[in-house]
Amino acid sequence: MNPWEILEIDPCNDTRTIKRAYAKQLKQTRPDEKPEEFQQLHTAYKWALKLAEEMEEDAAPREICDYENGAEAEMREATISEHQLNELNKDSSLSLEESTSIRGSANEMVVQSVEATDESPTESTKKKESSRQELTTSTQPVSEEALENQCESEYGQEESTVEELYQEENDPERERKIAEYHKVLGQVGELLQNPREINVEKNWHFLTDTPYMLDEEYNWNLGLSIFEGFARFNQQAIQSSSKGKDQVLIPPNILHYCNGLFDWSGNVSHLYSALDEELCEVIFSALQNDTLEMDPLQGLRGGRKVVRKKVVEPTETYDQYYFGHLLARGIAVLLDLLLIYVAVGFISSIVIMKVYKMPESAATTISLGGCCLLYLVMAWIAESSKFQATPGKYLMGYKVTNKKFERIGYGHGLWRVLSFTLTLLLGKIAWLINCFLGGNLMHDRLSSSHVINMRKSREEYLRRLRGEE
Amino acid sequence: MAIIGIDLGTTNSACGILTDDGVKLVPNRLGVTLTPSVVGLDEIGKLVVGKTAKERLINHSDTTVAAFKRLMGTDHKIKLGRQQFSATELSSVVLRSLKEDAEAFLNKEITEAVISVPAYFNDNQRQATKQAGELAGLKVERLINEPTAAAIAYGLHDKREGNFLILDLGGGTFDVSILEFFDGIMEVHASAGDNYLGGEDFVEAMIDSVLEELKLKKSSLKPRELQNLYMQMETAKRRISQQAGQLLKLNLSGREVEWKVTSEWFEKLSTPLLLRAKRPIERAMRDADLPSAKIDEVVLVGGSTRLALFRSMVGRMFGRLPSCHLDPDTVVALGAAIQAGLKEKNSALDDIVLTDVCPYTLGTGIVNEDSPQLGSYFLPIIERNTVVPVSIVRSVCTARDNQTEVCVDIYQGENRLVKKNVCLGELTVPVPKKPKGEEVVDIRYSYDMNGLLEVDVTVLSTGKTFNKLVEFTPGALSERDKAAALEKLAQLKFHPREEEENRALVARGERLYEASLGEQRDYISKLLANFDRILERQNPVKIGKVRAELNKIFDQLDSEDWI
Repeated sequence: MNPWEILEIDPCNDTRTIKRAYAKQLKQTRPDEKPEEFQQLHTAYKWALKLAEEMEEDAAPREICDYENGAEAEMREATISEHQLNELNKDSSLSLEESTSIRGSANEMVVQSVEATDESPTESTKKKESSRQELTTSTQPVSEEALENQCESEYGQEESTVEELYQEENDPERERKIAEYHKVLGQVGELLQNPREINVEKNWHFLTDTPYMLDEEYNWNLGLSIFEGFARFNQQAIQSSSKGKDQVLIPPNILHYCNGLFDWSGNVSHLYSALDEELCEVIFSALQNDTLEMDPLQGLRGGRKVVRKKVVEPTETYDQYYFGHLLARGIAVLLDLLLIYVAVGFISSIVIMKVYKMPESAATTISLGGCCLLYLVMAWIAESSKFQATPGKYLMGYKVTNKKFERIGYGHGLWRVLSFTLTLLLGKIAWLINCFLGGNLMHDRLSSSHVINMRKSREEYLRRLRGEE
Repeated sequence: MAIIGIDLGTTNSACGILTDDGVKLVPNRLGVTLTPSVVGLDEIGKLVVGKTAKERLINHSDTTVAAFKRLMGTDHKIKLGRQQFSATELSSVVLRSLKEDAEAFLNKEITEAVISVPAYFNDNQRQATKQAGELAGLKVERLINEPTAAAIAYGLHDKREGNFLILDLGGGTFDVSILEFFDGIMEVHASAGDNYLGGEDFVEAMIDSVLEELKLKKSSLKPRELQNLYMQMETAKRRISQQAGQLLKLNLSGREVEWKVTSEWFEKLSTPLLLRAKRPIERAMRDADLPSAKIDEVVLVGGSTRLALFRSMVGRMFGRLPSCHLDPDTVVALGAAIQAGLKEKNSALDDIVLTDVCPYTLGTGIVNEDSPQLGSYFLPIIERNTVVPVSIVRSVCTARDNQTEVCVDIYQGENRLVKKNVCLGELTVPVPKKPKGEEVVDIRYSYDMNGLLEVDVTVLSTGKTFNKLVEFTPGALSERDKAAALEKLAQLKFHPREEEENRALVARGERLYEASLGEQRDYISKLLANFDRILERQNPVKIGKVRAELNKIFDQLDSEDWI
């Protein structure tokens, strides 16, 4: 694909010309009318812009950072942006290695990047990257120093770096900011030593007391220090609990609260480049395993009550339905009767024998009659319920439906049971007639309901869909 | 036939139309352009919407509901009196009232509308909004993203070219969009947002803080006390920048408490919310790959952007003052109206083309063999901020031997695990039995200009295609549900339009009556009784006169400013 052909212009490095050409073409290719042509046009446009940028750079060679090259190569392929994310991830891991290797000579780096940020902004991503790095290296020792007491680790030797950095600017505002930072870190340390208080979110609200929270530099530094403190705390807790000692963890709700304030999960790559992978894992795995769900009811006002509608599983529909077989239905009825007799009839016949002193045969007859009545009631309830079948029918994979193959209501179900009783009055003749009705029996017809072999219907439906006829 | 543009907001809604002499906002039955998105039922079972309903929220909170937009696209139902309503149905009531206002204003029937939705609304929420329109008797062929609508209004207003950053902080949602405007083309570069961040959250935070301080629980308050507290805090929030150190008299759990609203207090409890607002801004800037120096204008939209704290935060982020010379409350409705006109191919606007993006990643779940306990992995199909309309195919193959079905789950989100993303639906297709990996299905996602998704799955070996069989969508109505909802809503009627002003006045009077004590209470009761008598006589001139007088008196008595 040649972008210039689609845009109907000659290759050029003037973005204004490209935009004008794109606008001209777009008015003939409106996205809602010609979606495919539009996608093509849009890809061509983006590509042309990239090419123009490249030409510009070739004309006046400048330093190009790796990130841009990667992105351009991607654009040239003009595929779906699927790969772009991967590419970005690769880039960030690349910068991760770089920054760790740089950390040794932090002193120089810091000064340079402070200067860089003072200059007018040139490359947003680049700038952010570098400013993040600066802050990372600068706060590393501070945070550890502050948290030394409970982490039992001694890393204090880099202190001079911080001092130097802070001497760079003698802005009183900045000094106040640094003082605030130390104060808050102290509070965090205190709170961490008080295991009973840790898991109460309210206790952490002091973090937002200062308006500096909205200051990028303060927020990032404090967030980083707290992140590290938390990670070490939890790491230690996990280690000691594996040794059998019981120590409190910082619970996920507090981690989520702080994540909300410091956006750790938005700065994953920066945090990984600043701290050990293991330390980061401790926090991020805890954040991952317990996600924070926003309650949609928050803020809702009024109303007597809010009810959550139960999710109704939609019933599947098939193109063809098969009636249940007469014999199988007979077996289902017998199974149901057996079930009821075992559950109720057997005991009741014994009771009748013992209490009313009746002979065994009479007692059995009475309880059997009772079972039949009970069966009718059960059939009514079970067939109208969401199972749409008595236990026997359920085993057979049968379901009772109305003429539209949907579930029947309780009223309809009662009528069905009544029609069944009516046909029973005909005695043996009913059986005989039913044999010739092809699964759609007398009482089914009378009550305009069906007994459907759902299992078979489903299997046949799927088989046909697969094209195996 | 005219198409109207509607801004269906969390707190307020508005409606506009493009006429030959420019965009016009439609006044509602009270003669104002903003209709509070509050719905209620009154004692005789008639519907109450807008200002009247908002007044009734205090004393009749069990039959009135506000801020239900957040429940769009969920399965929650709200009980008003004895009836249950879904957010879709409640929204449709608001839409119906707006539709009637527009019909009265234009004196012709309206059957079609363009409705604005937050850019970060997901597919379920968009579907629900569309259905709300249908329940209100409006054909909704086009949904427009709120920041885009605002940008259209601004772009057309200013005729300026360049990159715009639109920040839309409404009552319940926050949206960020970066757009470029050139040669009549409006191109959205990136959108991001937070569906649970808006002005209501600031009020919520104030209330939580007050209750925490006074050691009270929300559940222990009477509904009326709670609603009253909401109203007082809303008023305090609006006045915070003009009036420092307001003294509020709160009536909680039967005792009266004085509460001083200081700006330090408000600042402290806003900080977490402002920090949350920063995230989508940063993300949109990253996604658009634009340095902040290339942003020509930062535009503020939505009533909550009036908060001075928010403004100064934005100012600090971009080193310049944001602009907001159009009314932030109605600019979205204006933009929606222009889009409606565009759709109608109003000749004056023929030279504007809009391109938008899909604000979130859409994809499907794939089997996770490494760590099955985490659930399926997310396979992105349409990446976020891809320009739309777009249609992308990805192939997946069977994971097991003799697999007979492939279940395609449709997910939206940015997490690598599907369980942390939003499920939009699922679709099961049968495949012939084969050893694993041999059966391939093509999954095609098509995302249209309205932000609605269509899924086609083709089984390559049989060549059969299954489309849009989204079998399960939270909050969506099936045809049967829709018919039932339509029937239910048809039973519910509004009061006659011309009575609305009187009803709003009486509702306000009743609220004031309940809020006051002693002499003042008697006075209000007398005023209301007098007004009732005049209403009975049905002399429109006299009623109008008394109404104006009463309004003036109530304005003096009323210390709240929350509508």
